[in-house]
Amino acid sequence: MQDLMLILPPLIVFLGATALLLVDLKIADDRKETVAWIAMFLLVGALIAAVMLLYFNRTGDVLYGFSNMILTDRYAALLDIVFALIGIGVFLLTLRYNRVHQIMRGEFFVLTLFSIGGMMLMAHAANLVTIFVALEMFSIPLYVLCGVARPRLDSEESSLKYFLLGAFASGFLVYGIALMYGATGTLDIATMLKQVERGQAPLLLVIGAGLMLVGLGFKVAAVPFHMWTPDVYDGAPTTVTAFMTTATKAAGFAALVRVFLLGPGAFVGSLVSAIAILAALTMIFGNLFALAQRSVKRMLAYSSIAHAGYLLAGIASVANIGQSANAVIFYLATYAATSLAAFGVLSEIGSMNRDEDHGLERYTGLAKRNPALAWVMALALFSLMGMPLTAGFTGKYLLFQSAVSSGLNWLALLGVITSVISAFYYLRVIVHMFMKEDATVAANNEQYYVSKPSLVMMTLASVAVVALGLLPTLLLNMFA
Amino acid sequence: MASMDKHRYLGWASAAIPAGLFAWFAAQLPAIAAGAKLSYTFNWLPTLGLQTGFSLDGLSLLFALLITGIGSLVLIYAGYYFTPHNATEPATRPFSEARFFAYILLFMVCMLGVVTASDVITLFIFWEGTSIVSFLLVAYKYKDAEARRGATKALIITGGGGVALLAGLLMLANVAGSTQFSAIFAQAALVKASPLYPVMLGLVALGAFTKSAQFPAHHWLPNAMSAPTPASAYLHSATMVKAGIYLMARLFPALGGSELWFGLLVSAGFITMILGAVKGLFQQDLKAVLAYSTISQLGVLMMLIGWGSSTAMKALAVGTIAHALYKGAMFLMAGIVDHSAHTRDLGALRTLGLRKYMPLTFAATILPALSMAGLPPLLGFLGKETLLAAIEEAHGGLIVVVFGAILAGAFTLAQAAMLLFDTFSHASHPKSHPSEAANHAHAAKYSDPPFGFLLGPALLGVLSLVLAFDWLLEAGPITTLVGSAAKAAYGDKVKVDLALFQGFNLPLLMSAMAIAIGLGIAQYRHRLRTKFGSLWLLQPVRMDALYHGFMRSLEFTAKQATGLQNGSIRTYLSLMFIGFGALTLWFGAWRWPAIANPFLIEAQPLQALRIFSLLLVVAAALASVLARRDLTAIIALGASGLGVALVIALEPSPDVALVQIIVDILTTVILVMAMDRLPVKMRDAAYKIERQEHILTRLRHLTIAGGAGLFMFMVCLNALSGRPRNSIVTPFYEQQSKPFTGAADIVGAIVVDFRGFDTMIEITVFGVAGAAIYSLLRYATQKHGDDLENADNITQIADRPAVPNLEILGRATSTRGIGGRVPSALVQLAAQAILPISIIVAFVHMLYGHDQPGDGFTAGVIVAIAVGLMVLAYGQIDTFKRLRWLRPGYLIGSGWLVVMLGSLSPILWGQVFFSPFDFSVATGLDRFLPVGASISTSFLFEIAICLTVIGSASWMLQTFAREPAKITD
Repeated sequence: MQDLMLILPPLIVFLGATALLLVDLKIADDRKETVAWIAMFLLVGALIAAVMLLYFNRTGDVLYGFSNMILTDRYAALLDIVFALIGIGVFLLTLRYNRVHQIMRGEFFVLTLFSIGGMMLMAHAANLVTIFVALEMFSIPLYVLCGVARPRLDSEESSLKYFLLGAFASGFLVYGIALMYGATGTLDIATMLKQVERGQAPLLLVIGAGLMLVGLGFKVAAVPFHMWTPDVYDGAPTTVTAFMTTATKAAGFAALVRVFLLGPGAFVGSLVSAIAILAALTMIFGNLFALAQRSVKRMLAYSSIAHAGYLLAGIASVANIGQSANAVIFYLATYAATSLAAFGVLSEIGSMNRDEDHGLERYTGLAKRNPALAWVMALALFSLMGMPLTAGFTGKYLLFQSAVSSGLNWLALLGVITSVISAFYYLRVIVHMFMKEDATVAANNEQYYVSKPSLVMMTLASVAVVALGLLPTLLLNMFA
Repeated sequence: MASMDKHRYLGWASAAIPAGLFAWFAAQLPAIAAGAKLSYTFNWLPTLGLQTGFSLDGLSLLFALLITGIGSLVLIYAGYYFTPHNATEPATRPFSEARFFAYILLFMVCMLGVVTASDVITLFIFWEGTSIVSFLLVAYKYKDAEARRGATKALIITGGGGVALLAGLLMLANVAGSTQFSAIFAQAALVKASPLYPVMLGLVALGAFTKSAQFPAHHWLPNAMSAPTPASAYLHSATMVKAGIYLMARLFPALGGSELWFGLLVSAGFITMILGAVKGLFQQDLKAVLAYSTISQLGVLMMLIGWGSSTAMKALAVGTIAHALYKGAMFLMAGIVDHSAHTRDLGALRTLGLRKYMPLTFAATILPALSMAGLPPLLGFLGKETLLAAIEEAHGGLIVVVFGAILAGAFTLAQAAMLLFDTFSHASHPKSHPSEAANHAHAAKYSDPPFGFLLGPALLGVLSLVLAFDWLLEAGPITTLVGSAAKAAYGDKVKVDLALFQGFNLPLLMSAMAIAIGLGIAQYRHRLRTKFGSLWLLQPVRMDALYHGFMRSLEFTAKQATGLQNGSIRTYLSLMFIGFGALTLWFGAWRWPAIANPFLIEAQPLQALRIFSLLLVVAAALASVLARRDLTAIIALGASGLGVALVIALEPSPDVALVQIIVDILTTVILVMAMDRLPVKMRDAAYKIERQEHILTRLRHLTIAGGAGLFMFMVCLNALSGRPRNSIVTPFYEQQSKPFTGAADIVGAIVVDFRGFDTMIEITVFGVAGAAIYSLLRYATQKHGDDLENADNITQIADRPAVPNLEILGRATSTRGIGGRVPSALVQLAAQAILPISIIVAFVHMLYGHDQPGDGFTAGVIVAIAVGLMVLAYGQIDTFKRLRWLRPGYLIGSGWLVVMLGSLSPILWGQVFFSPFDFSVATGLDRFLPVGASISTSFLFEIAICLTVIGSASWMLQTFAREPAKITD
C-alpha cells in the first residue's frame, strides 16, 4: 500500500486517463471541452497528491518502493507538481486553440495525460529500467500528438521525424543501459552509485553512460542531438509545442539529474567534462540558430535548445551536487512558467489565423492591437533573456553560481555571453510588438481577443515569473 | 491651452518626489561625514547565504544627491519641454506624455538602487534596470527608425556589458566568499592574489566601460541622443553614464591599486578623454557636441579612478559634481534652443543670432559654459585644478597624461566657447545679415521661455558658481561631501581643501596653459572645422561600422549555421552519429584496443560451419548495401539475419536462434509488403537520387556507417573481455527452473513463469502495437481514398472523377495477389497446404515448449508467416474472406482472456494467483496425453502468446497488404 502511495500522482493520472478514454466515448464531438475539464480535474487531483507527498515527507527522506524500482523524494514530488501544472496550463490553452484548429478530440487529452503520467514516473525513477519505461511512456503519446493536426503536412512531417529519430535515440538509450548493466551487474542507480563511489568505473560503464547521454540529450535537445527540435516544434500544433518545450524538457532533465548529477555520472570525470562540452555547444549553437529565425515559433524552438544548454551547465556542476540539483529543478520550474506564458500568446495568435503563421510581422504592432498579449509576451521574453527581477534571472543566477563554484568559470562566462546574444532575438520581437506599426495586419479585420481560460493561464504564469524572480525562496524553501 | 498646463503640473508634481528624497539625503550628510553607515538588508536566497540590501556611505550619498537633485530639476523642466512652444503649434493631448515622467521616476529608482546597493547582486539588478529604462527613453519617439536603432544599440552595448559585469561580480563573490561589498573589501588581498583576478577585473571593467561610454564602446552615446532632451540631460550626462564611474570607484578598495588596474583604466580613460575632446569640436549637432564632451569628461573620471591616489579620488568627487552641474545645464539649454528654434544644427543656429531674441536663455548659459571651460571662479575650474594636481603628483606625473589632460582641457574650453557663441551669436559674415523684416519675423517666432523652463539650467549654473566658494565656509557642504565620498572610494581618510587659489604652483600653471591654448583653438575653431572636419578619424561615429559589422557577421554566421537544418532526416541522423562518435573519442576510444584484449576472450573452436555463417552474415550485409533494387536489398538483409541465427544456433542456444529466424522472416515479409505500398515510380526515383549522389557525400556516409560499425565492434570486444567473469543470473535459473516450474527449457521458464507478469503486460503491448499500426495506417489509406473494405468508402471513391468507377469495383472483388498481379496457381496451392501444417507445427511446438526449444511466440510467428504466404498468394481481401477465423481483434482478446483464466484458475485448486500449475496432473488427464506433453499454466500461457502474436501480426498484414488504389502509378 505504501508503494502505491509513493507514486500516487502518476497513478491518479494513469488510472484517470484510462477511465477518461471510456468516458470520452460518451461525449459528443462538439462537447469535447468536457474531456479537457475532466483531464484538468484529474491533474488537480495529482497536484494535491504531490503536495501531500511533499507535506508528509517534510524531512525529505528518500523513500523506495516496488522493490527499489521507484522512489519518492522532494525532487520527485516537486517535479510532479511542475508536470501537473504544465498539464493544466496547456489544457487551458487547448480550449480555444484546439477548437479553432479542429483538433478538439478526446484522445488529445488522454494521450497528453498518459504522457504526463510517464513524465511523473520518470521523476520517481530509481532504476535504469524504470527510466527507459518512463521515457517510452511519455514519448510514444508525443509522437502521435505531434501529428494530431493531420491534414496539415508539417504536422505529419513533424510527427514522423520525431518518431524516426526518437526511435534511434531510444536505441542509444537502451543500449547504454545494457552496457551499464554489463559493467556493474545492476540496474539500480543507488547500487551503481555505490560501486562507482568505491572507484569502480570500468570503461564499459562510461561508454554505457555516454550512450545514455546521447539518448537523453536527444530528449532535451542538446546540440548535436537537437536537430529534430525546430522542425518538430514548428510543425506540431502550438499547444503540443507548449507541452513539449516545458514538460519533455523537464522529464529529460529529471532523468539526467537522477543518473548524472545525483547518480554515478557525477563521479566519472570524462563524463562530467563531456556534459560540460555539450552544454557549451548547446548554448552557443542554440542561440546562434535562434538569431537567424524570422518565425517567432521557430525562434522559441531554438531558444529552448539554448536553455537546455544552461541546464546542462547545471548538470556538469558537480562540486556541490545538492545545490546544482536545486538549481536545475528551480530553473525547470521557472522555464516552464515562462515558456507557458510565451506559448500562451503564440497559441492565441495561432488561433487567430488558421494557417499557423508565426512570422515576425504577425507580431508587429501587437501592443496596439492587444496590449495584454504584448505585455505577457514581453515579460516572458525578458525572463527568457534573464533580465533581473524576473524568474529567468534567478534561475540563471543559480545555475551559473553552481557552475562557478564547481570551477567551471569558462562555462558560466559562456553562458553569460550567449545570454547577451539571446537578447538580440528576444528584443527583436519586443521591438516589433511595441515600436512598429503595421497597417496590413491591422486591416485584416481579425478578432484580437483573448479567450478567458488562456488569459487566466497567462496571468498565473506571469505572476509566477515575477514572484519567482522577486521571492525565489517561495519555491526554494521547498528544497531545503 | 488648458492641456498645455497639464504637463507643467505633472512636472512640478512629480518633481516633489525626488525633491523630498534630496532633502532626506542631504539631511544624512552630517551623520555620514561623521562615519556612520546606514544599511538595510533582506534575505533573498538564504539557502545560498545571499543577502540583498542597501547601504549609504559618502560615495553613495554623493551620487544619490546628484540623482535626486538634478532629477527634480529635470522633471520640472520636462513639464515645459512637452508643452508646445507657442500657440501656432499643435497642442498635445493632456497627459499624453505622462509615460515620460513615469520612465524618469522609474529610472531614478533604478539609479538610486545602483548607488546604494550593499551587495553585488542588488547592484547588478538595478544596473540592468537602468539599461532597460534607458532603452525605453531613447526609443521614446519610437516611430522614428533612428531612435529605435539607437535605443537597441545602447541596450545591447550597455546590457551586454552588464552581463559581463555579472560574470565578473560572480567570480569576485566566489573568490571573496560573500556578495556583500563590506565582506569583499575585507578579502581584498585574497582577491588580488587570485589567479582569476585579471579575468574578473576585465569583466567588471567591461561592464563599467560600456556603461560609461569608454573607448571603444563610446559610440552608443551619440546615437542615444535621439532621446528627448530632458532624458539626455538626466541619463546621458548627469547620472546613468556615471554608473560605471561609481562602480569602479566602489570596487576600488577590492580590485584597485594593481598595475593592471592602473594600466587598464588610465589607458582607456586617457584615450576616451582625448577622443571625446577632439571629436566634439567637429560636430554639427548641438547635442552631439555635448555628447562628445561628456565622453571626454567620463574618460577623465575613469582615468582618475585608475590613478588611485587620495588626491585623485578627491578630484573624482569634485569632477563628478562639477560636470553634473554644468553638463546638465548645457543639455537643458540645448533643449530650450531646440524647442524654440526647431533645430540643433550649429550652422543653422549661427544664421539666426538667437541672443537678440532670447537674452535670458543666453545669460543663463554663460555660467555653465564658463564652468565647462574650466575658468575661475567656477566649479569646473576646481575640477580641472584638482585633476591636474592629482596627475602631476602620483605615478611620477606621467608626462603623456599631463599633456593629454592639458590638451583635453583646451579642447573642452573651445567646445564651451563654440556652444555659447555659435548657438546664440550671429555669424560675422556681413552677407548673411538678416533684413529688418526677417528680424521681426524672428522676434515673433523665437522668444525666451517661461520662468519654469529656465529654472533648471539657471539654477544649475548659479550653483556652479556658488558652490565653488564653499571653501569660505568652515566645513562647507561640498567639502564635507567630497571628503566623505573620497574617503569611501579610497578606503582611507582624504584631506580636502578646495580653495580656489592655492598659490602659484604647477597645477595653476598647467591650468593657465590649457586656457591659453583653448582660447587659441576657440578663436580659430571655424577654420579648424572646415579644414579637418572631413578627416576620416573625425567623422561622427567611426566605431559604428565595427558594431554593425559585428552584428552583420553574427547574423551571417547564424544563417550559415542554420543551413545544416535542412529538414533532411539523414543529415540529422548523421550529425547525431558524428556527435556520438566525438563523445566516444572523448572517452578515450583509442585506449580500447589495449583494454579489449582479444586473447582474453575464451578461444572458440574454429568450425567450418561457424566460419561459413559469419561469412554469410558479412556477404549478405554487403549485398544489402550494394543491391541495385530495394527488394533485393531487403532480402539480403533477411539473409544476413538468418546468418546471425545460424551463429546463435551453433552457440548452442536453439531457443534464441529459433526466435531470431522466425522474427527475421516475418520482418522481411512485412518490409516487402510495406515497400510494395510505395509507388514504383517513387521507388525508382529514390534509387536514382541515391545513385546520382556526389562521391563525397557517399564517402561521408560510408565513414559514418563504418565508424558506427567499428564502434560496435570495439564495444563487443570490450564487453566480452571486460564483463564480470562469472554470471550470477544463469546459474540461478539453471538450478531453479526445474524445481520451481517443472520446465527444462530455461528460456521458456523465464518467459512464462519467472517473469510471467511481465509477459502478460508485454502481450498487451504487442496487441496494442498491432492495433496502433492498423488504426494509423487505416487513417492514412482513408486519406488517400483507397480503403476498399466497406461499401461506404467505395462509393466515396467512386464519386471522385479521377478514378474510373468500374475499375475499382472490379479490382475489389477479383482475386489478386500482392501488387495486383494475378498469382500463380502453384503458389496458391502451396499457401493453402502450408497454413494447416503450420498450425499443427505451432501446436506441437507449444505442447512440448516447456521442456524443448520453442515457445508460444515462435508458434505465433510460424502461423503468421503462413498467413503472410496466403496474403501473398491471394491478396489481402481474399485471404481474410477465406479465413473467417482470422479476426485480429478476437484473437488478441481471446489471448488475453486465456492468460487471465490460466493465471486465475490455480485458485480453484487452492493455489495462489499466477503460480505454476499442471492441470493435466491435477485432473488425471496426463495419462491420455503423449509423453512429455502437459496441460499446465505455462501451456495456457504459450497459447495466449501465440494467439496474440497471430492477431497482431495479421493486423499488420492486413494493413500493409491492402492494395493501393493507384497500382498503375
